[in-house]
Amino acid sequence: MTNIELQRLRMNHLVTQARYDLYTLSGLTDQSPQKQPILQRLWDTLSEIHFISEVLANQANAQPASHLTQMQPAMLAANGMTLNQLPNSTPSNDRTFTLEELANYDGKNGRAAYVAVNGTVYDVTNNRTWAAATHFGLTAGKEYTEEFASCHAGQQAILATLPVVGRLL
Amino acid sequence: MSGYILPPEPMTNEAVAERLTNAAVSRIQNGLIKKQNLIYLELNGCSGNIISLLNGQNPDFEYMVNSMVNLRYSNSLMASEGEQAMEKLLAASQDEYILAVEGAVALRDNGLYNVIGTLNGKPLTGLEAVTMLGQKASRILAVGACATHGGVSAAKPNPSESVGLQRVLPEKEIIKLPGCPVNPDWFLGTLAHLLLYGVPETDNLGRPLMFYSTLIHDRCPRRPFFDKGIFAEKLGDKTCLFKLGCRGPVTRIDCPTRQWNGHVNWPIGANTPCIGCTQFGFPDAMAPFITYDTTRVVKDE
Amino acid sequence: MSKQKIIINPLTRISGFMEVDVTVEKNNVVDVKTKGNMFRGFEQMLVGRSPFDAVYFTQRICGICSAAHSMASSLALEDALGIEAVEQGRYLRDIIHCCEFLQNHIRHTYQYTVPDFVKIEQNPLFQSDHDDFRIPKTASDRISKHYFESLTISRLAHQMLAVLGGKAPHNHGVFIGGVTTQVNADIVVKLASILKQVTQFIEQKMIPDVYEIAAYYPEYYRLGGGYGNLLTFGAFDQYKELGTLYVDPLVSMSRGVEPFDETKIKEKIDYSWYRSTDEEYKPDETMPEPDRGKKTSYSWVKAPRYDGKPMEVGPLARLILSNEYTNGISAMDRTLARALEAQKIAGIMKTLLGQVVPGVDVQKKYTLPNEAEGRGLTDTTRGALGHWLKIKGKKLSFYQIITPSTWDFSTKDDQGYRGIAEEALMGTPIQNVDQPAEVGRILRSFDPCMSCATHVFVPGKKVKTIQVF
Repeated sequence: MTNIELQRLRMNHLVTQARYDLYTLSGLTDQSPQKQPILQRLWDTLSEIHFISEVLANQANAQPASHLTQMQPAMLAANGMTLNQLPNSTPSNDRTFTLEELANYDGKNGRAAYVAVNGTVYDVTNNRTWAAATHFGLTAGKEYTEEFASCHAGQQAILATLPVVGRLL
Repeated sequence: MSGYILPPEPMTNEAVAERLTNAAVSRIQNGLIKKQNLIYLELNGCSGNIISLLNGQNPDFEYMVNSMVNLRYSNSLMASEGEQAMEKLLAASQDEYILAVEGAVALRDNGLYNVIGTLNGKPLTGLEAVTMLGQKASRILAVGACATHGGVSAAKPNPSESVGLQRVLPEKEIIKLPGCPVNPDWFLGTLAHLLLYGVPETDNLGRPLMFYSTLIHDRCPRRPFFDKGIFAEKLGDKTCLFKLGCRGPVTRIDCPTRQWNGHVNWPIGANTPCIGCTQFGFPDAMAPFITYDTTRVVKDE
Repeated sequence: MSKQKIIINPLTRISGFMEVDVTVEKNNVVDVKTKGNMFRGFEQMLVGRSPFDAVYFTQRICGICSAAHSMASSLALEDALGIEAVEQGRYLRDIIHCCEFLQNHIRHTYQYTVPDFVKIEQNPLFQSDHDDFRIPKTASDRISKHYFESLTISRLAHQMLAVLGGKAPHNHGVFIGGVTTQVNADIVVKLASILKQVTQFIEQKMIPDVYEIAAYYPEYYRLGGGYGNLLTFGAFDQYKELGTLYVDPLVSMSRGVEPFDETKIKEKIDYSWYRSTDEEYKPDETMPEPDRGKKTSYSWVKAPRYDGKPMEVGPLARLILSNEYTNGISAMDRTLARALEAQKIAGIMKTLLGQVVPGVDVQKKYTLPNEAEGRGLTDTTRGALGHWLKIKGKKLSFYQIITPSTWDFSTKDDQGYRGIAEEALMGTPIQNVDQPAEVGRILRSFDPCMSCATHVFVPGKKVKTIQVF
């Protein structure tokens, strides 16, 4: 295992721990108005750390392309990614989807699970909140801008953690 | 000697709950705190929470009724029936009391879908009872999924128009103990906290943090399988049940460490997915419980 | 003296909410109506859900007998999917079911029945409305002590259930094909050692206590009889190698004992608030429309009949049909039968435990047919339980449940038959109309579960349900 991999493991560990703390914090009944923006900023920072860690890891592994497939599937799954959707690995973000095409990615029978929010299509195949390609009564393969806005107001950072696979037409 | 605890007190969930209840009991025995009245109301549901409470251990039910509280009303357990039972309910409501409610409140036809007794020749609905008792209660505990948010009683298409307790008591502070059913420790530990230290610290949805703070996923013994992307394809497998629909990643509760029925097992231990029964929105938001036709494991090339 | 009406609501110490209206003339019961007081509409909720979810969903019908519903729905799904559970799966599933029998019978006996006959002085919760307590103090105190001791034992019964089923109430282990857990020596020996404790309690305390009660209340051997028609769907029966450990599907009517024939089950709605093209139908045929305005009706509970007759179900019916009990049919016989059956079930569980093979995984990856039908009939703690389901477009399109308490607490029908519990109360002498202890004692001998068998009390408004429960 390379040094950079270890660093990434360490970083991810910190991220997980900090997120857990954040959730606990945000669950407190304290009504302080400052709390929300601070939490938001904290969350964004964490997401960034996470992102950088991914970039670092990918750069380290980028040279021999075959190396990619040997990268810990552990990390891929933990971060809600599948092999071909690593950020910056391939420029797959240019892909476009119609609603009909999106509907094919319902997570059934081995297909990936995609959802669209604000015109961007995200991969939730191995996202931990999307067990069996369902999420609080929602099924994958659909456009959920409104649902996202109503349930995750002020939590745009969630999207930053999801791998982007393309744009919705 | 005092001040030193050797070895350190165990900080497991069950140890904490047990310490709390034992502390409450000893303080009651020493006359430090007064035994409080408890009215336990069963409404529209399966009465599974009272059955689960009977499964309590350290403390058990006997301990609870003889040493912690004066249980003044319980449809499942009291000797009285009919008019006399109703009279006891009314008498209890004249004193100070903690109100614990299991089951949902049926709203349809002014609550007539759930009648809990006859009072002065007229049916007393769950809705009337809980509105009346809720106003005067010193503390209110919503016990189980149906009481906290409607639960299974309010599942689509909700024929009885059932709702959680907060909907009919919007102004009241209600400690919510979701679960289907509630684990006896969650109820008894919370009750002990009320007796000892007052209202426990809760999250913004009213759930005591001492039980409901952490995602199952974050403490799941099968987490390494998730991280390695090794997923079960059927029930009975020993790996991560995520692809079958496990709701552990969205469900906050201490099942992985506390477990059930004397800490012997839990749903994931039985090789089945968590169905998110302690999460608001259960069961509809947690359905489907079991799915076989989702993404297959990506095989290595 | 004119007629007097007694209303007992709530009838406490049962599962769910129940009201009983009794008309008394010259201290004798001349008319009875039993009414359930809650409604949730499970069958309607199930339509449109994933068929696999039925196993966990239907358990929420009842907190004290949830495993029973997981049994019946698993059987119904196996029937629909064309799956035959292997013997190892059946053994383990039936062991889970045994645990529920033990838990239920112990709790019904001590927590629900004992306070009717024994003055428990430890706590004001047990202060009674009547003073008909005849058991001498020493015996009474001993049974009171066992009331609390039994809590440990019934808890252990649930603990055994959880070892295999994940948790109780509302287990996860019972499923299509049997169970989801695999046993090992550690589990088997754990279950065997707990079972030993439970068995000892049943044999040394529970059964003697019930006989003690019976000795002081002998008239209950003559009260609460009823029609005497008995039905069982079979319990712990027809194993490939073990044969029948308890009772085969049988019925007993005036013409004698005969094999059970499921085509003879019909539900009637003559006196229930429903409308349909026919006043009677088979369970998998019709879901009648509710019609609260129907003049002749008085209840939301329908009237299941076998070959046109109301049938008693439960421990006493099973023990008589398996030739293990011959004393008779009465309130006290029912209570005794429950305790004796607990011992029987503990023995069956021991036998089954001896048959399990470690490390067998009976689960498979199941696929849903586009369309299918299935039914699961089995005897459970309170008696015969049936689930009938239909699948269309891989979703549930129909679900019908007839619970044991629906059989025992049904309404009258067009032939003039009453429900089993109603008939059992008819003619009962009431010593003191202000303290009608007899009514509750007789009704509780059936172990009513109104969470399972509910009708409802609704003035006016039409209910848009497919099937009320």
